[in-house]
Amino acid sequence: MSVNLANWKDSLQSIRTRVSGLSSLSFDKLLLLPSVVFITLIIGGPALFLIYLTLTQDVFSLFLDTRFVGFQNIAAVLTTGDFWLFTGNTLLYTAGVLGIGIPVQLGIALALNTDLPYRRVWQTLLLIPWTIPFVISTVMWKLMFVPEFGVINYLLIESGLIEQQIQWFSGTWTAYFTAIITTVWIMTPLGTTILLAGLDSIPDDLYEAAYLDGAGIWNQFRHVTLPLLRPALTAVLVIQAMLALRGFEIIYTMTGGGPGTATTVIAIDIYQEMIQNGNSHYAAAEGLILVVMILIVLGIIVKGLSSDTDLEVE
Amino acid sequence: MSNNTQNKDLSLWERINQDQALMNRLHRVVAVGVLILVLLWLFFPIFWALETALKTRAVTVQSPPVFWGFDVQWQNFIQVWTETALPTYIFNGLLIATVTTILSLLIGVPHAYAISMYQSRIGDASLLLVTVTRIIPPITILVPIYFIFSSLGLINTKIAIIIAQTAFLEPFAVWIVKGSFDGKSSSLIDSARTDGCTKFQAFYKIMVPVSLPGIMSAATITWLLSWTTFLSVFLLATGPKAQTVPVGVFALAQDTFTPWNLISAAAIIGAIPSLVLVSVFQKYIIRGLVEQ
Repeated sequence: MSVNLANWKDSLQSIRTRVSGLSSLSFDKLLLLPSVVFITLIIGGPALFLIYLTLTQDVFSLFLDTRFVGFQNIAAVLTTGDFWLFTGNTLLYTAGVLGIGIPVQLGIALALNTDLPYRRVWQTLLLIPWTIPFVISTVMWKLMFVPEFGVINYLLIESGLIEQQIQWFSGTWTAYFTAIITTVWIMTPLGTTILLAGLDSIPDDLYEAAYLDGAGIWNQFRHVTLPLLRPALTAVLVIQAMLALRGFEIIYTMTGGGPGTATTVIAIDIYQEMIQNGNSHYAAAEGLILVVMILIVLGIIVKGLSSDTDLEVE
Repeated sequence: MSNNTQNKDLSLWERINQDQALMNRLHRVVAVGVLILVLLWLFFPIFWALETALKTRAVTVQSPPVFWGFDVQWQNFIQVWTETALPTYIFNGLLIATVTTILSLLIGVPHAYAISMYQSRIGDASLLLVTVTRIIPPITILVPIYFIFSSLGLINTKIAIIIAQTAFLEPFAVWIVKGSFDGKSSSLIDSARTDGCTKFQAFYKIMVPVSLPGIMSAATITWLLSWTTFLSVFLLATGPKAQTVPVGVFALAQDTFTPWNLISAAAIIGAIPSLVLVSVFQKYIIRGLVEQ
């Protein structure tokens, strides 16, 4: 009798586990579940659909249908001359944003890395441009770049740097310049804040030790600051490279991709192919290629910065 | 620079201290100079937009540009507020950002806790999922999302935008909150458990409160990123019903008939929520940016 009762309890228990299902999951898996299911559903599902779109092509018969075409769409993107132009544009924009932005941010962070009073106040002020919607910041800069009555042409002429108005949006290089300067302005608070925190975490006695060893300012920077700042610097580079490579709204608001297609980056082309040309399979393939490109660039940055060091880079 | 040679009797430490004091003073002078220049550079565009917003249309297009002494036109702000859909954009933006933030924390905080405090293969895999989600550019994933939402009839609804933004921003929240939980000792859980808490109570009664600064960081950053998001709204919203401030200002600025004083007024109004948020929560934003 007692044996039977135990069996009965066991089977009840197993039924309960099976019915509820979830109770067989451990506590931590239960906590993971909503988030993982959500991301899988909203990002993973579309990601699969993206691959499907990439590998198929529309067939127009009586009804709209699709057929499997393998890598034809990817090949179509890679053999389109414009795609390589847009790739070049994207890399040029990214190089400009990093090449101007990172030294500026590093310089500001190094200069401010001292016991200045009212840190709370000026750090808040330094943060502000990044918190304004990018489009709004870009509109503010566009207003200043207007050739005929913009304040930038006025100041350049007044200071004697140029003699006549620059038609900022008509030339390829000047159009790039407007987009890059605006992006650097937007990203500077972000980069400076992260770098300042990184500098803050370097203990002072390391500088004292270096000084005792006879290291001047340059050597202190090279052998103390730079190696210990590497994680923060990597983070700043990776974040801004990612934002520049996927960049859309700053360039689109500032130049609209022009003059012509001179500043059309890949993200803008994907948008135009999808929405304006209705070429979703091409856009999907281009989107996949952009992901690969981003992975390659991030890989180069992380590898380049973590070489000859045992510091952990995240 | 230093007078070492005259003071041979100075001990090494005093010399070092003297040198360092001089260096520090020099550094502070440089720092003040750089700070002033940087703040001028960062605030001039905002100042100029504010000035333009207060000019008449005729003054905005004058060359050379007018810096002061013009008739201040506060009614530009009223005009842009009453004659455009700006109030709707702001309402939509506030609603979308707030719901996105709540949803992201609701599912993101437990997720972060699970990967920070427990070791499991699924946890590691989920961290990879979070990282991949952050690397994929929104434009790529918006291609299929656009089609899926179109076929579900979700285009131009706030729900669609909230879903898309939560998917893009929740990984940020997970990352920031995880950083906060990582710094906490799991012995807190153990002592809560011996005091009779269930695992879940240990989570929400002990660990969430002690990690509140990190969670606040995640909340402010998620809110800000949602409020400033352009691309997903630009693609998924076709009218004022679901459009937010960045898209509204973009549309206003694209229309060549909109005078610059009104565009500027809209830009200034659109920037105000950010300014308020950053002045109140700057501590959390800086912390979140550093930990992201």
